[in-house]
Amino acid sequence: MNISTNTNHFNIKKITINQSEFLQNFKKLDVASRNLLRPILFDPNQDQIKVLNKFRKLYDYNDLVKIYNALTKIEDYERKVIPDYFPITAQVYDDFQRLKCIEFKKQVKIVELLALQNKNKLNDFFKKIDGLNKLIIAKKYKESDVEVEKIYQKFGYSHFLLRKILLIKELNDDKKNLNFVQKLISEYNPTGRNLIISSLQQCYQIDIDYLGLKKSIINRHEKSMFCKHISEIPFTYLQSHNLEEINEKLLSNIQSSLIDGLFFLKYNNNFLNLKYLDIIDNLISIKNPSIDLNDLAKFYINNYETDSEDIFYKHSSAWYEIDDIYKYRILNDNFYSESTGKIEIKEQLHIINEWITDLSLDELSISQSLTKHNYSDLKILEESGSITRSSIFNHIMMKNEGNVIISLSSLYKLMGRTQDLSRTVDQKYLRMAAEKTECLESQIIFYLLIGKKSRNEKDNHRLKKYIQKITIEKFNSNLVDFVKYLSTKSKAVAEYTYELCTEDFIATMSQIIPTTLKITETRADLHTWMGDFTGDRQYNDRARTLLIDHQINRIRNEIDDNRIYVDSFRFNEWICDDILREFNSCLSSLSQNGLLDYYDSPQLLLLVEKAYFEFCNNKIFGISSYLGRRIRHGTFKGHLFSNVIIPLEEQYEVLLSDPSFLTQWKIWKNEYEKTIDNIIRHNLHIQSTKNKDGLIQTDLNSSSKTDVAYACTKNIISEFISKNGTSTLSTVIVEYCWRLIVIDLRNINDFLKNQKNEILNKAKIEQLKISQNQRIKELTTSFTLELHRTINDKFISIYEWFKRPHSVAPKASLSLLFKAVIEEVSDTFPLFKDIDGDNQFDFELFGGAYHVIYDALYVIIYNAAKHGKPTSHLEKFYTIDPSNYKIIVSVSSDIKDSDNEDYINSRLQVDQEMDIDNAQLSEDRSGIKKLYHLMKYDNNFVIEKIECSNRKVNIIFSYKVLHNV
Amino acid sequence: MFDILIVEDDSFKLKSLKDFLYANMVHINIVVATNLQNAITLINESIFHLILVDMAIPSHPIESGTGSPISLLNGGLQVILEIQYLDRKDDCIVLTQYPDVEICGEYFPIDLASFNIKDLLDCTVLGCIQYSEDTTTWKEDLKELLQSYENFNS
Repeated sequence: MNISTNTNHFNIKKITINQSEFLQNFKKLDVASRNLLRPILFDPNQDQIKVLNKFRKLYDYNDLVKIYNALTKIEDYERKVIPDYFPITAQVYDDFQRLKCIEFKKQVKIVELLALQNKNKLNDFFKKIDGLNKLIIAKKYKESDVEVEKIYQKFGYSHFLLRKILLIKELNDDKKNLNFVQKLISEYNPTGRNLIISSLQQCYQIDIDYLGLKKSIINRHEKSMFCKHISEIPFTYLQSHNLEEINEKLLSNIQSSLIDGLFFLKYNNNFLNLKYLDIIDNLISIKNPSIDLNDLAKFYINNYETDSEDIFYKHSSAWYEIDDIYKYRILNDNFYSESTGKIEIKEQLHIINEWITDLSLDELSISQSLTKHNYSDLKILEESGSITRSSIFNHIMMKNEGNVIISLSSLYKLMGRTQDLSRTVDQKYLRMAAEKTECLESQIIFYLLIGKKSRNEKDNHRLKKYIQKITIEKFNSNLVDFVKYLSTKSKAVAEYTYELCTEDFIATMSQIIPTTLKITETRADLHTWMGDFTGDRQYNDRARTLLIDHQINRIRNEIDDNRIYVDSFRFNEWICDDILREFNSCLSSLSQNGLLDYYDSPQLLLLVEKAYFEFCNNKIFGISSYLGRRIRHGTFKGHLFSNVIIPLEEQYEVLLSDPSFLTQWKIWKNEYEKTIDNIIRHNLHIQSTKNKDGLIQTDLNSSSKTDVAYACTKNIISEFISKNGTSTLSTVIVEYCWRLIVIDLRNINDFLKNQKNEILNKAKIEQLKISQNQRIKELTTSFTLELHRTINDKFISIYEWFKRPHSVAPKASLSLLFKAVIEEVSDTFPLFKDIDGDNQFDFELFGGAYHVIYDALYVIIYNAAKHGKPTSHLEKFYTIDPSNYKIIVSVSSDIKDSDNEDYINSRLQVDQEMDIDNAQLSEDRSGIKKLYHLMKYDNNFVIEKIECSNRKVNIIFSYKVLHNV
Repeated sequence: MFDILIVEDDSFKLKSLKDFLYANMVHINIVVATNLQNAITLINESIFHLILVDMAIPSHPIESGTGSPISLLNGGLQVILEIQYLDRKDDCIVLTQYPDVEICGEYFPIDLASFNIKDLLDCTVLGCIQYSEDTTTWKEDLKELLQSYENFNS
């Protein structure tokens, strides 16, 4: 044994122990305990956890505390078996092997004894916390940062303190001012992947989807029980409803710090009601606190003009020590929560009933006093917000099991004063409420709430039938008119209906949407209504986008029979529930570290790959499900085999009566069938270990896919920066998943083309022609020609199946854009003729790019038709600048003989900023100012040249693209 | 006349079904819907003695230049729900090429699908049959369901 005695530490095989403190505690143990403890300390080969578990089982809490006191003196972090009571490092990773739980009472007694042992320190800690709270409420965030560092240095880390730290960070606008807070985050969460820190940070963000985040944290399959338990703290005040789980969670909280262990017991004692917790409760209470719940409410009312209750609720875990906050949390944790199962709330119902006012639904819609407490500012916060009102709505629904009566006007009012009901109310109560009323509009409102989340086809069918009924009876079958009517009754209901009525949703309203075209038109009209209603022109742009796509489809005039699809609503839901939090963590971390310009973030790429995997593989909404149901099972073979063979055999009965031909035909047919079966069995799959030859590959390793994936991360980053959050990320992810699958679909079609060539191999077909009989020979020639033609036709139509649907990620070539624009302009100027021949090169454009280019071309060509020489021909040219990822388009047209160039040049120039902004208001979409407007608001669009010379108007513009396929 | 509606978008399967019905039933009048919109319109116009419905169907007819209809993997359920909503008793048989049926976001094996359609959607169907070009099992299954009709040639 190598014991160094020349320092005040001694080393035993890497273990560093604080000698004097250790010996002090070690000597307090009896001989037997010391003997048992020795292997933990001195024999690295011993299973320390096994020994410790034995201790915990055998010894009483007094002895265990003595043993703990000795063990916590181990300073070598690698060899620690017991977490520190006041850890000097942040416990945000699971660094300890998990111990077995011991009897709950014994565990509580240990915590109690440890608290008593540290009584003065704890008292001091809570005094400091009270001081810190005062600083935060006074918005002195820089001082709070200094103070929190001092607390950290003196009392060590606790999740309790981490909540304060991250709250200060969120509240403070000038993030750079917080040295300690920033340092701590950079040290412990440099990549943004630490679950405990990231989830807490996100919980406090104003724009975060709190319910979605809570769901993803609570449902997370996390290997470490410690990380799971601790990351759940901000989302549930009461951590559990059964003793066994509470015991496990207590162990996790103690591992985090003694302070967290103590607080955990205090929170849960509201449910446990253990008398023996009085000592702990007393020890960790702030005596005569400087701020109370009313001060807090006032702080949030003053600090946030809108959504103050929403933000208060998100932040409230940083204020758990404030008296009575638990009552607020118990109500909302239970009733403003996605119902993921039956909630055991019997014990808490009493607290809730004491907290809230007994109201009917009609009263709830207008009441200004939702709760019974005397915190006047909290009452204001609750009344002006919608969290408490939503919880009470859900509480009333539960209490009455949906047997509620509410007038239509109150229901409309309530819909505007509550939030997320579709996610938080039990659907069976809504169904009951809809059944109880005879008012069709009330039924529609209840079913609208059900419709968004329900997986039950009957709910959706019922909702659509009700909407169609009212639309047909009262609004001349015009869905938009119904939504307009709703907007006069309730903004919230109208906007909610707009959101729900996506293309997928309205596609099955067969009675009012008789054609595919009507889907597009109705959705475009809904966008236009929403744009006019809210004043947000983005919606009008969406309408325009749809109509441009429609115009392009009209010109393309193709049969669109794609069978590859993804249920975008469900995929979006998956993104929000399962991956958005990870994107948020990763992007927040890149942003914190100033790395957002560094586009090749491997972490972001991995997340894109994960999303693409789900896009392809998900059995309910993914590509694999459509591949299976719409193609592989029966359809593919039926189309390529039965539809080819049966008509041919019927047509050539005479030929088939020839035995020699029949023999050859059977051979060929068997081989053909085998080929088709093999394609189905081996190739029309997502590649996996089971389906090695599957043609859809979910990895992003090919160069073309890597290219798209990089463009996707670039786009995600730019959206994150421009929108200051992740609210629009799902749209980007969906769009890029389609761009990725295009590569696989192209491979499928290449593969099928090869297979077709193989099937129609001349030599093989020639083998059918072996008969010497002239008549049979002639028939065989005709037969093989027909066989060739039919198979060729069938394959051509099958290629269409493996194309991206235009509706979900539209694209267009530049030449098609020209044709579509000219066609549209010709509607106004019938004499306007087409231009010179097609360009030698053509480019396919996706997404936003081609809509902007369409608009730009429309302005240019419309003006040429309106003001140019009537007999003039447009000259067009387009090219690509590959090094700058720029498309350059040039259009020239003759001016009228009566016009002079100076005059035209003066008309082409727009100097005033105001004029450009007014372009949207004062001109329709054809005005030349619109071109400048496009340039001002889309950085990718640049007018390179606009002038009149040599009796021609010459306009050159460029568009920068992120990526093209 | 015994009116039959077949909701089916695959021409080869449609032909097989028609051949089978003409071969095994007399006095029948077959009407075909190749998409959901078409099916719902026909159901609202007429009562059928029997409806054979595929699960995966498009939302609308395919027309050139108007874009793609939406692929509905369990669009057949909408047909069955329409019958229920109209409070009608038209007999329905599901004929799908897939070994299971998606109901309420879950997949159920075809032999349990009738029970689950009743249990989860409160709709009654005579049966759910897996159709396959390669076997004749579906014909046997369909025969069994149809033999109670008087116009069925046993």
